[in-house]
Amino acid sequence: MELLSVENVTFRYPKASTDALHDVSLSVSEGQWAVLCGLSGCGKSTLLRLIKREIAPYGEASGRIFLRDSAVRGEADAPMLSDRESAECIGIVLQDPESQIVTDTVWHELAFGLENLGLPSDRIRRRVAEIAAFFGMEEWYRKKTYELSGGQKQLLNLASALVMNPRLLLLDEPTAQLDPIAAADFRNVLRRIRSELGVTILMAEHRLEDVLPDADRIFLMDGGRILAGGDAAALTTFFTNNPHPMAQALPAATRVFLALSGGSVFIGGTDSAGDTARINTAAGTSAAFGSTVPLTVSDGRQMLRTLAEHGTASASAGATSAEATATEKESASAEGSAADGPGPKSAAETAGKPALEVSGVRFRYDRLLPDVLSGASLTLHAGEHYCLLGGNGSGKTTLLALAAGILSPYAGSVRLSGKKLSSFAPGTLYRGNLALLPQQPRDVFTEKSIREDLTAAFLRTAPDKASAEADMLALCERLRIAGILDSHPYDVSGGELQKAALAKVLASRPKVLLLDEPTKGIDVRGKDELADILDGLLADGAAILSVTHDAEWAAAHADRCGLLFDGEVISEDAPGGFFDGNAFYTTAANRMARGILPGILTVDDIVRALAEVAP
Amino acid sequence: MTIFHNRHPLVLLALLLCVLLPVMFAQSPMLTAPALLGAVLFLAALGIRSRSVSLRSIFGYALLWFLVTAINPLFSTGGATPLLFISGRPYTKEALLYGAHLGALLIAVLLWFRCERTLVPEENRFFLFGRLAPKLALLISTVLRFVPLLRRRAVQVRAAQTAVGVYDDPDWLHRTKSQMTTMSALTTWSLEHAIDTGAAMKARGYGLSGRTTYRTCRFGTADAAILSIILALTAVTVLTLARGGLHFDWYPYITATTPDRLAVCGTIAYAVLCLIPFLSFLKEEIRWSFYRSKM
Repeated sequence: MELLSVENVTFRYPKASTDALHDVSLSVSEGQWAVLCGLSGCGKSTLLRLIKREIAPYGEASGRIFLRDSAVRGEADAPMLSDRESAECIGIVLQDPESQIVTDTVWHELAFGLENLGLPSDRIRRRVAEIAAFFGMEEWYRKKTYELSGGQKQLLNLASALVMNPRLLLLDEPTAQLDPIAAADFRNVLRRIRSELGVTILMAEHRLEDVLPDADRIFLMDGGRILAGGDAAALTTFFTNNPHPMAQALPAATRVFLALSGGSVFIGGTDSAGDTARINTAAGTSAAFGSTVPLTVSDGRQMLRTLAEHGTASASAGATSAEATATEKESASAEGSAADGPGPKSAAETAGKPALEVSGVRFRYDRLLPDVLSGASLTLHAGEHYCLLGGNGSGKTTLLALAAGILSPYAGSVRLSGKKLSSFAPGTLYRGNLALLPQQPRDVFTEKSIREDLTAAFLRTAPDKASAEADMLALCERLRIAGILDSHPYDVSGGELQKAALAKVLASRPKVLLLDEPTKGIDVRGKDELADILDGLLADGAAILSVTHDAEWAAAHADRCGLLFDGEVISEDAPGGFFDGNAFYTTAANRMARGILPGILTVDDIVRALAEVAP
Repeated sequence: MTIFHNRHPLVLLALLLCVLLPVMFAQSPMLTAPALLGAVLFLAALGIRSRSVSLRSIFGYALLWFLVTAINPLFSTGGATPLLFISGRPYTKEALLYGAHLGALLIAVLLWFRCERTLVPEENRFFLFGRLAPKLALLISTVLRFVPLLRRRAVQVRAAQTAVGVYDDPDWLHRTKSQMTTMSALTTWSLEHAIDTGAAMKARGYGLSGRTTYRTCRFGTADAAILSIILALTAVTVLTLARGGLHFDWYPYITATTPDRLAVCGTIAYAVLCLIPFLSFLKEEIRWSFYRSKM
């Protein structure tokens, strides 16, 4: 029985020249977990908001949406869903955990929706108690909402939607702003909601690797249309025949499977050596695993083991040859990087003084509080991209603030090209030397349009207005944001805003660029674009320090990685050594190939290694 | 924790009003003394129990009392017994004693408010208010949610602006202008946040007819019992005051009516009322020590 059906919905925002949604039809059955996937701006959020009438965007809409037999939108001959039913039966959780919380205490937040429905106090008490028990919130039930962590806030939003007892739960990229641990907790709760309560879920998400194993149905959206719909296997088959950037957002195991079964995958960005490598190895690969598409790391390991035994003439020879090629490749890449840009080691030799040197910094937020950083050190050379990883609350952002001179350490020092930050004259440190891109890119904008903001930033370093504008336009062309210059910073997508913020930060031509979680909330295409931009800056001799949770991104794009733990930077190494040495804190491809194929960091590595092994 | 914690806020409000109104109206040491004693005993007991007696605040109250006592005769020359003359104005014994009483009364009122603060959990403070004006209570709740959020945002925006060089611009005019726009950025964010929160409220049915208010506090039989004790004791005190039983004159001579039987009853009733928090504390202590010995 279908719970939600969307029939031929077309929607256009006011003053827009194209449809945000074009003739979209889909249906979700009772108890299913459906996922709407697609790059940002593909229309998935718009569709969710149209289903939740109270927050529907303004614009021209046509088509019909039904929840069971009641019409969500008017003009149908069916009975209308009443306002009360809409509030009660359809729950929604949006991306930003912060802006959905209404009241100051957790218990009041849980009760808020039920108060609106007009339930008597004792019924509210019962429902609130039930939901708090289901979520295990007893410990923070009495807390103030501002004291909660980001993950707790989003769980609270989910609980407050669920306490209304909805039949359909709409989720708009609910884990985009959370760190990986909190995101995994959130998905675990969703699994319980689906299996124990049978609530139907429709979720918009661009990170398929996390949701594909759970989804019953996936709809791929592009440019306001639905390109494909079906289960994980059907989607993978679709990608086999139709190359699409979203294929890169698939789980690592699925991407390997896709590459092996003759599909085209964009490997590691568009200009990778393999370029949409089509590897028609071992005619029997698909046959070997039948029709089951591997979705998880353990599925992937199974597949690689089968391949190692089945596909090659001798598995052991294959493995050794793979090892040989891996080492060969590493030395080759080391040579290559030494030739066209300073690698980690050669940089130390060539450059006299490191671009940024953090040595033994200690910091605490209050005399009575424990140290956040207790003697953290790292050095960053010109032309190097250093990725600092670490768990939640390990002090990554604090370290960046120290490196940027926003906070000062109580012991230790931060030096820029050998000069202490404190000895820079006023007005010189943030011009041509150092810049920080904060976690929330909107924080750098203060004007009414992006153009005004950027012009003001460029004016600070340029001799006159004309050259400032010329410089600004040139940079914006390079970042491909020239089209959004006249928009308000709040009106553009997350990826666009981040690029605009990067443009503002780059206006001062910094030698050292500090990035705080640059890939947070950005889709696969945005990540590749960002990597391209950063590569360009590195080639120009900039040094980049990024703080990130994104192991896959760090493995693919960093020159060196470090782990911040217990207030210190430990296990510093090139990505190869860093991730191969870690057992848990590593990429999915590495976990998949551990003990089967050596020296693997990314999906490309697996595909290449298998291509070598294959006869 | 005493039995008074987690009582219905109405009971606690009634206690506060029944203690403070008579003592402030009567201006009589017969009531001021028990009011002060009750508050001091309770707070001291709590402080000793939690090992957090603040010497600084004791010193502060002593200083306040001393100042009020010493300064009152400078302003009021009403008394008949001059102790000394300051630039021709009499500094009288009566005014000095009245000052001492006034200081004690002031401290008693402050301490009772402090008792109320320890007795009523923060989330219950607006509770009674919520019953009278639910919309206003919701508004206060959203404001209390928003203020810490705005403060955090201000810190973040300031940090981000520092790192793009706004705060160390050598040109002060330019710098001031940029700092002003930082403020306007915060305003824009606030409005944007308000729109998002508004959408979240609507999504959860805000604006439907027949909204109710969830009450976390229930008025139980224990509440009713304590409230009736409070009201009964207060009735005795009020009756005494109405009959003029506790009349006390400070000027020109200190004169008090000889207490009759009613006045004695009134004073005792008021003293019992003031001791309720302390007595309930003692009762809990004794009960728990017995309870523990049985474990």
